[in-house]
Amino acid sequence: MSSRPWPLGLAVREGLATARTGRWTSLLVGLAVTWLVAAPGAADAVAVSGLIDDEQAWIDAGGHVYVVEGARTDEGQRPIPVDACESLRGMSGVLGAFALSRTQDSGTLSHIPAGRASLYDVSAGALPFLSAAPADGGVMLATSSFAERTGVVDGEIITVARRGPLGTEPALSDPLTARIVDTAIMGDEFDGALLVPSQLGLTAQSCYVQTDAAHDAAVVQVLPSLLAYEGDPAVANPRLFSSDFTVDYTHAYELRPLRWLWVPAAALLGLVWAMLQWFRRSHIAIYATFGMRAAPRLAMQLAEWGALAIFGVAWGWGIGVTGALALGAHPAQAVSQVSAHAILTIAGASMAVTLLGLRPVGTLLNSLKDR
Amino acid sequence: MQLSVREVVYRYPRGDHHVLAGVSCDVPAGTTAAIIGPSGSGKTTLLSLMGHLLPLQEGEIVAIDAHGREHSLAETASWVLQTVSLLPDRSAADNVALGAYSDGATRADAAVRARKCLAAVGLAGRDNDAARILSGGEAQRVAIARALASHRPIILADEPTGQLDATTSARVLEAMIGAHGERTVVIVTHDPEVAARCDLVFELRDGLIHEKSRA
Repeated sequence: MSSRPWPLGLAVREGLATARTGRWTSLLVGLAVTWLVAAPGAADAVAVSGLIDDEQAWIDAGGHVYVVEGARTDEGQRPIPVDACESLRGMSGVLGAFALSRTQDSGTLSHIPAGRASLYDVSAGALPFLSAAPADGGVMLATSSFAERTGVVDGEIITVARRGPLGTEPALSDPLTARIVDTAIMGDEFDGALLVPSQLGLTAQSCYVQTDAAHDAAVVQVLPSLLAYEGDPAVANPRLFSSDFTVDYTHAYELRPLRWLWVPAAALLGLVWAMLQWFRRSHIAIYATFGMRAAPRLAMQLAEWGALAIFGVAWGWGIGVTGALALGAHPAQAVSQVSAHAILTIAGASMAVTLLGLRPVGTLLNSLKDR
Repeated sequence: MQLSVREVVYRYPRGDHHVLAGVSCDVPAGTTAAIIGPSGSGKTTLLSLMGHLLPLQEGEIVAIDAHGREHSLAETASWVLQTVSLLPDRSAADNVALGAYSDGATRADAAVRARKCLAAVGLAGRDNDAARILSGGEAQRVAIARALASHRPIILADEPTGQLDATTSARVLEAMIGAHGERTVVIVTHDPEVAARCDLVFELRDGLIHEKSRA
């Protein structure tokens, strides 16, 4: 007699052989793994992609943009220091910032006298904020509706006639390069206006600040003090107001219910495996009758599970990613979410399989007689 | 290896009487013993207790080696079960190899033993057939081959020839009992011819065991 029946390597080979010869049981487990990896992963990838699209639309409409204005005091509305506003651009978590003042003037293109538009003076930060390229000789930022109305095109050299109160003569600018910009991020009131960079003095009426999502709360907390004027803290208001009925994109990713789909998926796989082991309890009892103890039994079951799980995950991952892409998910999200769900589902199910494998075999005679 | 049963008492959890009410017997090393008795007399229960398929309630069952050391039958006995318990999707050879693995055989050694034992029970050339396609009698012979493939010194067999014709039955008994002298064999049987081939015959009746005759 040998002193060591069922070494772990042999038990593992038995498990792999059972997986290979299992026919319907192996197919059942493999298919269960495949679909319980594919479906939750794909569903979550589609949901996350939708969330990203929605958040991007929200950002494009002015999400994470703050309009900072001076405090209202007995002396009236306080201004915003332009240099302080511009210096925010170098701050961590700030994507863009520029100062803005509405003027009493209106502007027209010298070659289209009828196309009168409101004029706003803005600081240099307006160009990167609105994704406008600089140009030699300076630029004039024209909103897209102004461009539609006047026919001016991006890059066109224009001269702006600036008109003050009635009765004053218009002042002609130097030739400027027209940049057509989308001002939706700043609000509807700028629709049809002209923004004139570098016409501001030391102060402005407001400062537009765009933050990244991760630093939003931290940045907005320090804006009043950073943009204070003569000791009076400024007031920062979000461009888009939120309420209980609007989506909180800062936490939407973490709070999405589909992220937990791997939990029921893993539980279901555990249940499938438990049912399989119950139906095959006589097989386990046969091994036990022929000397297989707890450790090799666990190794054998884990090897069988591992082989079927690898097969199922490979198919499930492929089907999940393909399905997610077909349903409109972003490629990066399809890969990352399906992979994450696959890993978590298999990890959870493997824990269940391990716990089931650690159960004692019970009375062998009952198991051998399937009772 | 000698098999010693001492004052074994057993009552099924939902039963209203003791199936075994103080059973004691000894099967000397290298002998064959038959356990006979009417249906429900506790033959399979006693054999299951010997092989640790059922937990002992009272008494003791041990295997004693030539040096007087006691061993558990869980580690010294191999089985032929009344219910033909094979792994249906595995080949006949794989099933028989389980017996060899039980005493630590390598895969190569187990394969050799499996082939030899299948031939001994008349199933030469059926090594690669899946167990599920075997007839009842063939499956029973695979189960016997599995017990023979083990080098454990005790074989416990519950109605091992129940599904076999007379010729095949004689052949597998020869294979099993023919190991006479090398192994201790205990057979539960209804078949007087099988009992007649054993060295010892014990009859179970009313929960007690009686040595009936000596061959």
